[in-house]
Amino acid sequence: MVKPVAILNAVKSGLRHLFYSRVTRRYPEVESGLPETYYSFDPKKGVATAGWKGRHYLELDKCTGCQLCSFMCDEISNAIVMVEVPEVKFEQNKKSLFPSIDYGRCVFCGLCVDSCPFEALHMTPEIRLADYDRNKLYYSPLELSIPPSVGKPSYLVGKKKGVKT
Amino acid sequence: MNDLFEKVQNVAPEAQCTVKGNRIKITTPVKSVVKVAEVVKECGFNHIESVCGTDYPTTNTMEVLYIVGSVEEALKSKVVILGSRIPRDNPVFPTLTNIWPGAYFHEREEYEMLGIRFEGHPRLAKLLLPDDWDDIPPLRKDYHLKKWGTIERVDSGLRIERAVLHNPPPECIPTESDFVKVKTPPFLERFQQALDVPEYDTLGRQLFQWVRKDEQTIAISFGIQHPGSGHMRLVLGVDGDIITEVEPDIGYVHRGKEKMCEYKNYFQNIPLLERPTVHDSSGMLFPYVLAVEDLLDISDKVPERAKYLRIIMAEFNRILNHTYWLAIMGIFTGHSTMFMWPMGDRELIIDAAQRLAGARVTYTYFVPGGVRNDAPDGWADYVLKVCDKFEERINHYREMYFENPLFLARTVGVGVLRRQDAIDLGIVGPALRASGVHSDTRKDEPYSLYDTIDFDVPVMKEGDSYARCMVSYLEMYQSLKIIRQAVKLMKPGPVRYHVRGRLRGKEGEAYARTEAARGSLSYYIISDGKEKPYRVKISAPSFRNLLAGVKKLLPGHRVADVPVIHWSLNYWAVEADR
Repeated sequence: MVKPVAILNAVKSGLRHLFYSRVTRRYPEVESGLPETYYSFDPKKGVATAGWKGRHYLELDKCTGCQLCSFMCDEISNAIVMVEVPEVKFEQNKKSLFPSIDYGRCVFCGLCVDSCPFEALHMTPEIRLADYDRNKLYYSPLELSIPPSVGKPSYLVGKKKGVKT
Repeated sequence: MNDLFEKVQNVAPEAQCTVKGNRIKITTPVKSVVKVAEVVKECGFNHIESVCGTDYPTTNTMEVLYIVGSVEEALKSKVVILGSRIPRDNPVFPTLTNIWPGAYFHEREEYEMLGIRFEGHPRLAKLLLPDDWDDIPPLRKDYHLKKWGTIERVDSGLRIERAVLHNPPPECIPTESDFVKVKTPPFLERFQQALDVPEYDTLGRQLFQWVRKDEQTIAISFGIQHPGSGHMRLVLGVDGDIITEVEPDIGYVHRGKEKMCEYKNYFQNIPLLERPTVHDSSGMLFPYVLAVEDLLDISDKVPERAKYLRIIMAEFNRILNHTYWLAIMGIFTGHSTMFMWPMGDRELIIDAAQRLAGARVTYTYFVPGGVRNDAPDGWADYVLKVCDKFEERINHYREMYFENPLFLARTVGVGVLRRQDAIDLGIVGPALRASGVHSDTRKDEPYSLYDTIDFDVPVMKEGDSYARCMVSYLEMYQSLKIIRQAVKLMKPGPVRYHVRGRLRGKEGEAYARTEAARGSLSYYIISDGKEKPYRVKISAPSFRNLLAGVKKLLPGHRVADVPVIHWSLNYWAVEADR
């Protein structure tokens, strides 16, 4: 069964690949080229829209502080903590309770997005979250409400953007 | 089936048989369990799948279930669940390793996890837990996991600083003393007794090998930092260059997922359970969602489109797993090109899966009731294009690797697993099919519309490492064939039956099995009507494959053949340890 001549075929096959285009990508300079859409969940239909599961985007004017995302996350990775942000006042959120997310712990499963009944949480194509400081991985509600620099929020067209303070 | 019931009634009149679909449950008192097991084996159920022990402190009993399948044509879709209850104070059960030799390691696992002593077992030692474990067996209900620490936060305007304060660990007092009293033989016991163990050589360097005084046998460690597969160790007794005995030592990446599952609800378990094999994450979830749907009574409400999307995702993961496996196989045989090519070509499939599920490896895409999101516009055409390109790429592997004399010399005739041994030891997946057994859960017990799809199951007769490699390689072509058909069969429609509120499974149990990339994977879930499962038993293909396979295959081979045999069985340490 073993034919030593067949090794020439392998060499030939390898040589042919000298003329193939490169499969690797110079990543930090060259992006992946995938469509940059948000992962959002429609609670009425019970179905999400396909998109990146990167950093979250929080719409402060929709969040009621109901803590459902936090309850879901508790036993998964314990990354979401509800915090009080006194300077942000909204009619629907009297206590000013908003989720904050620790990306040192988040596993990016997106089940917090699915559990939000008010479409306030989304996941975005912003995936470069690495930092030298662990504390900087901890995103406050105000940081989460800043729309990411990358990506087209196609599911949020016509909607109010996050509140910057 | 009536034949089986009659025979069981003859040997054990008090045995009870219940049939639910393809699941035959036989409960019998412990004194007649051996006789019933012999009858079940005679009737053709020869392929052990799992041994599941469950603790019931309320009734002061423990239940031991032997889950047995078959590779015979008429019985392939059936599963016998044979069990009996034993008192919790004195959990003693007769071993069934004489009847199903593949139960060897399953029984050892249940022994250490629940403290059930299997009488007559050849070597009842610890397997997954650390050797110095001095607490009660962890899967007993009175063993509690430590809670998460509280998080203190100080709102300082923009940045929130946090400090994690873990609760002091609760005092773990072993209440079940019998487990502690049984002195489990520490690992390497038989080596240490017979060996002179010099710890340091004359220069003061620590030695990693032990020489037996009376013979020429040397014990060498293959692992722990394993060259390729993950953290596990094989202790090899070698005479010259020939292996004479093998003792696998696993559990270095054991996380106790079966225990953790009991603390999470059915949704929260999803990210946890896909993590044992990240490159086969959807395949790992598949039986879990099927079992939970069975418990929730929503199996028939899952939309058709969701079923096809699940098939596509599972087959993507099968390809990802096999390319990853092929890359490491290339490294093990010293063929660096074969590491680079599959690793590069995987990116095509990863990109297609990411467009659908939004992540590169851990998709968290399957949920009870369907899938989480529909495919984006134009995705189906993109997938067909990717399939064509990928198929063109893997055609090159044949010339470069599978017909390469260097690879053939390393694998042909190495580690031959005979058909009967493979069945007896409970081998699954490509390793079983390479030994000439036509067994694939997708064909045997079609789930999730696999019966509407036309595909073949590659089977080879040789049973050596080359056949195992070739079967996995040919499976990639079949996966592409399945994906192409599923994309075309998929019609627009809903993708998820959304269960409002919290999921509460009905009281009872569900057993689901699917064909994951490494072989038949099954979940046995017991629910007591609450939000969280009462017991989750994962029967992972790696656990069934390597342990039985390596002990059988390695003796008689050279040390240089270990990587090839070990990796051709497609072993993944994290999946086996769970």
